Amino acid sequence: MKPRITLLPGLSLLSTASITAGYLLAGSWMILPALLGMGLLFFFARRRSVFEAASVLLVGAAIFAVVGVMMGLSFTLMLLGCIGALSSWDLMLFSQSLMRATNREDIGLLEGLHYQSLVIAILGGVLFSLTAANFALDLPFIVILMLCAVALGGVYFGVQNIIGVER
Amino acid sequence: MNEKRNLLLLLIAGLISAGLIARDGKVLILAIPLLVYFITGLIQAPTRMALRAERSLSRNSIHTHEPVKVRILVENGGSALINLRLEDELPASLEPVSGQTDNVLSLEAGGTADMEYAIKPERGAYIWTSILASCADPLELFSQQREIAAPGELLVRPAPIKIRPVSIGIRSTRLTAGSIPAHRAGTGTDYWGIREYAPGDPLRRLNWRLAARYPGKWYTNEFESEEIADFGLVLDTRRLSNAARMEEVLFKHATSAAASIAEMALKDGNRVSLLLFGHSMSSLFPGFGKGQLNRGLGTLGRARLGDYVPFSFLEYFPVRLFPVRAQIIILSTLDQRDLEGYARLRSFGYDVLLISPDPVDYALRNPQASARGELAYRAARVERILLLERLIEMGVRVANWPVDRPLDPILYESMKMRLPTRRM
Repeated sequence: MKPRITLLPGLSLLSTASITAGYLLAGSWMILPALLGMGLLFFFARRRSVFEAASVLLVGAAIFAVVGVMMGLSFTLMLLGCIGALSSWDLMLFSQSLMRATNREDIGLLEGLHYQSLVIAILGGVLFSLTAANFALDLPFIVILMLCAVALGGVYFGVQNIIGVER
Repeated sequence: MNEKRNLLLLLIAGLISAGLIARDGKVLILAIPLLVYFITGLIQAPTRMALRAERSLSRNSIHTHEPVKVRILVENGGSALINLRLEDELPASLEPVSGQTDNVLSLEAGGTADMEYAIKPERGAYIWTSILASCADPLELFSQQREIAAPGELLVRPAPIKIRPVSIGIRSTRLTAGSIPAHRAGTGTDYWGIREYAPGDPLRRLNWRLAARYPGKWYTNEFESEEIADFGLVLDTRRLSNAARMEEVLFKHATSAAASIAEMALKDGNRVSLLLFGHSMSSLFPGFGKGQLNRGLGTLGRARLGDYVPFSFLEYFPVRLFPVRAQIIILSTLDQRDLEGYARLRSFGYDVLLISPDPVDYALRNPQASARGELAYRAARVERILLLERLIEMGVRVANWPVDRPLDPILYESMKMRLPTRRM
């Protein structure tokens, strides 16, 4: 069986379960109708395109995680929900793009490379996030703002230089 | 930028903004997995592509609806490409009947890949210039796109409709043996008459019965000479009405009929010339044989409907295209403004046969034809009949062709038509 067929629902479930558990543990039952609304939105978006449907889940999970963190819910569960949503979003779009591939060998190679990159990204993300969560740096707001500007600027110039020819 | 990367950047920016606004470090930390994902894609972003492509078609010239296989061979002259998408954009109105016009694959350095699909095109000339190649990182966040030159050309000739050989009453022939009765004595097979024996007549042509009846006199049987003729085909490529769909269908039938008549005439050894008459004119000077047929079908394959030009413009066309007293066969739906042009052609001494796909009949058979429009159809029918009658009075043979019926019986009927004595 192809890994993405089992991984995809598993990761989606993990993401939803983590966020729901975080809210329910704090007694916020209002998450249930919100999740239902997100499910309905996913259902309607799926009729339009796979990208829109997958994006509804990712954006929804990110919003729930941010709200949850602001409400002081379990940070680990919110992070897990966010990472699960990111992984399932990626796999959903990857499955869609693989539909055009016809050669089995190519599909195998593409799948292998994709999973490798995804695992690196996810493990790296978890590692950096947990490390950052356990640091207690007390920086002034202006410094944080400058660091963010530098980070975003770095990403922007990186994109411009490395993919300069992209249309 | 692809939409996946856009969304990811938007989310990262949103999370960072939310963290800054709320002054909550943990919200900022939520952006880290997305940022790491983004950077992982960025690190593996593809370098420049160096691809070469070559397109080959199983046949470069076919008849309508015959299948053609298109094969594209791509060679990678650069570094390995792991997530390569090849896409061949088909010319408008083409659909693949098998295979795919796009493919996702990986291509090692110096490696080759091929893509194959089949099409069954309509009449026309199709030109490909390039294929679209895009290469992305494994997470499909960063991609490059290139148009790789892969030229190809396909000419789809009209499929001739099946016409039984019809004797088109040619009045003027060339002095070369052929298959058309020349209405004079010569070396044919059909009996023509008897004349008095002349020295040199072959003995096998002597009429022995008459010789027995009139002793001392000799008579020779004569046969009708069979010769080739000049055919000038004129295909009307003018758009005469606003009913685009109907015009296209009738034009398609007219083109197929022109192909069939050209084939029939050339098979009998006749000389055929062709003129596509319309906004952009195209012509084929008189010629014989298979080569001429191929050239003619090619010209018909490229024929397209265009804007209106007056038919009288035809009088300025070089006489070399239509030799004197050639049989002109015009395929046109006919317009009231054309009468003068037909009169001029007749006055130049041409025998003119008009094969006219009937637009009124076609419109009447249209399922959208409503009872309300019935009177309009009847009026149009009367107008068309009057127009055709006027052409017949000018000495033009007319084959009014409802396109859902076979053409040969209609041609046969038009050949039997008695034309008025020529007054020009």
